[in-house]
Amino acid sequence: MEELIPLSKVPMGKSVIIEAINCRKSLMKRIYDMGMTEGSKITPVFSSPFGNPVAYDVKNTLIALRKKDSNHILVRCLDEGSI
Amino acid sequence: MKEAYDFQIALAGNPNVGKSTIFNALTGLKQHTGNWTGKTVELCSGLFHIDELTFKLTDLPGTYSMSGFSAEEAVSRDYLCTQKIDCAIIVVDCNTLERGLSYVIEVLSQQKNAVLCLNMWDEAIKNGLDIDVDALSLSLGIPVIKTCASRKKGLEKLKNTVMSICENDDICIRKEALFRNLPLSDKERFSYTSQLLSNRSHKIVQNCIRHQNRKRQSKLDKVLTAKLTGIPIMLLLLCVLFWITVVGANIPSEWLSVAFGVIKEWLYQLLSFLHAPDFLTGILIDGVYTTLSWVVAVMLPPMAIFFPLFSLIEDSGYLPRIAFNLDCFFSRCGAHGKQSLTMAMGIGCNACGVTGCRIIESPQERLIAILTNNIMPCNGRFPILIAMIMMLFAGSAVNTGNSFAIAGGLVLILLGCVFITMGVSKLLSRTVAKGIPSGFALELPPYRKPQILKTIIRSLLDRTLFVLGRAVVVAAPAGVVIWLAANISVNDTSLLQYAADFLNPFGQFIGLDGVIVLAFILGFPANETVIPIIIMSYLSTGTLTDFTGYDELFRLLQTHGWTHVTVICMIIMTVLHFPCSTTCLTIKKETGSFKWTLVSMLIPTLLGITGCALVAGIARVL
Repeated sequence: MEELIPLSKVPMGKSVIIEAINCRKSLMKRIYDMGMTEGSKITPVFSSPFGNPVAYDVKNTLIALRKKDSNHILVRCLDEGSI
Repeated sequence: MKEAYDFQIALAGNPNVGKSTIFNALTGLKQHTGNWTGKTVELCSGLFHIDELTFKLTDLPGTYSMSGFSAEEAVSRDYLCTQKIDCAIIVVDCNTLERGLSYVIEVLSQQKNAVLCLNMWDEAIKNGLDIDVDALSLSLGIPVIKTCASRKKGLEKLKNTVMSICENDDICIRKEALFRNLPLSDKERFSYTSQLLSNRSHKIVQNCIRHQNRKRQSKLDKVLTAKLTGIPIMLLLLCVLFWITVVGANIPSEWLSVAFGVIKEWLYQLLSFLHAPDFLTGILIDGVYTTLSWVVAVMLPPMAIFFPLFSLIEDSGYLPRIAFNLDCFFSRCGAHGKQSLTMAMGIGCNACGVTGCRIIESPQERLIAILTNNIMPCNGRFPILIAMIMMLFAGSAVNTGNSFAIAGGLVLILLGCVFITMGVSKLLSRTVAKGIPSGFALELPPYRKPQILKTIIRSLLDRTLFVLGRAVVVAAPAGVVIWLAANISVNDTSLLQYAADFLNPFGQFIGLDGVIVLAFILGFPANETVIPIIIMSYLSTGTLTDFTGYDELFRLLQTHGWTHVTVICMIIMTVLHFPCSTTCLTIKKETGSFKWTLVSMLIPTLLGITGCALVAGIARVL
């Protein structure tokens, strides 16, 4: 089992799996609604002109998250080639 | 209104999946909105017919799930639980099927008879998506239909399926029992159900989707959100939008003024034909009619241009990108990136900006955006600002040739407004609006070509007439008050003059005078009337008059003691004072709270008075 890192540290274009979401409760609900649940795949796609927030690909949709929120989402890196 | 119908149909789905397009395609434009008991969320309903049968279709609010506490979700849930629904039409966007399925399964847990609408099918084909409809139907236990609502494809089949579901009870085969009787806390419940739904959706999708392209940054996003080009393109677009609005609105505004003038003459003749007393003629024509026509002539054209254009940009999917580009500034002030959009709308009309705050999902940020919206000067206040800037330069023999300086001054004022908005937002987020939970997870929907004609008609009907209606409701009584104040005299002095004299010491203290303060107070129904009221008072005439030219106006103002300090204080006061009555009414409706309406009036007024008093004080010392 690889080490968990915060979602905010994942480089652009690298797909990872969400392992734990430790956000505030109010945001938690919205994050779940957006299809980000434990076990789902997420990929940072591009960032805004000022670097924050960052747009992520989740279940074929684009969702923007602020860095301070994506810090609280822990992810596990995928091995190259696997899905 | 009670309508006769044979079957009741509910329309459910995530936001941005083309639900309202399906609704409109099924029911035409005949619909009426009504508030669902005690909540501010509107439920749209309309009728459609198949053969001899009448179906009542109710559009549920677009939400991502139904287990939450937000008003929209509660309404959807209550509606499905308490109403006897014969069939639910659930709409999903094929391209985001996996996420949409969570919602579908949730609806199915409350509602057995349903049909799934796979909308935007043509887009899915373009994206190389292949969905096994039969397998999906089998997994869910309900019929599944491919549609493309914007091109009216698949809608006949949808209608027929709805009819057969209503008439036969054996088409939909099961009702899912999902999260009943789970002894879990809220947090666990959310986590549990979300994961349950997510896992099941994932399994279903794995069985049904054969091929799916991976999503990369689209070409448009590479330009529109890029470091170098993102911000300049956005500013350019906003400038063009305002330019079209301001320039384009002048011509119809003039036409309307002329037309209203002609009608006014007719009304005079009609009333004199009826031998109406002078008092009645005055109050009806000079009071109510003149104020009403003033408000309509000034407000209607810019709104009728701005809102359709704004709706087009909205439908293209670009608006969330603006919020995305600017969010980092707003997040520092405890606000939401989408506030940039409501501020832009506020420059068109504050009442619309406040209504637009609905696009901000989290309550705290929405409240901040509503309370600060008025700091952006609207259409009604822009002419005052332009006149004041021109007057500042008027002393130094500057004419229209120096429009560059005027534009520059306007930009400076606007920047100041943005700055103040940010400051107040930050203050609010630390004080009164603190503690209300918030969240930011912004969806960036794919770019879509907007349906131009439909969007224009819709936004004219929904937004423009809606705001105009509210404006008219408050302008009429205000016209009566202004007329009465100007025309009832005690000891040869009108009430207006008494009020102005009474307010004069306070006015002088903040660098203005009694007449100006009174004009702002009487301009409550519409800021457009501030300058006319000032002219009316200075000239001691009993009716609102338009000034014939800036030069004449400046001479008039200078003879009444206006200096550069007065002009600067006037600019401050124009930007920072209580919102107009239409906006106040809208704030009351949107927040549902008298307290917040009052706060929204107090904040700018206090800031404005303080600012003016400071400027006047410094000027006195110097």
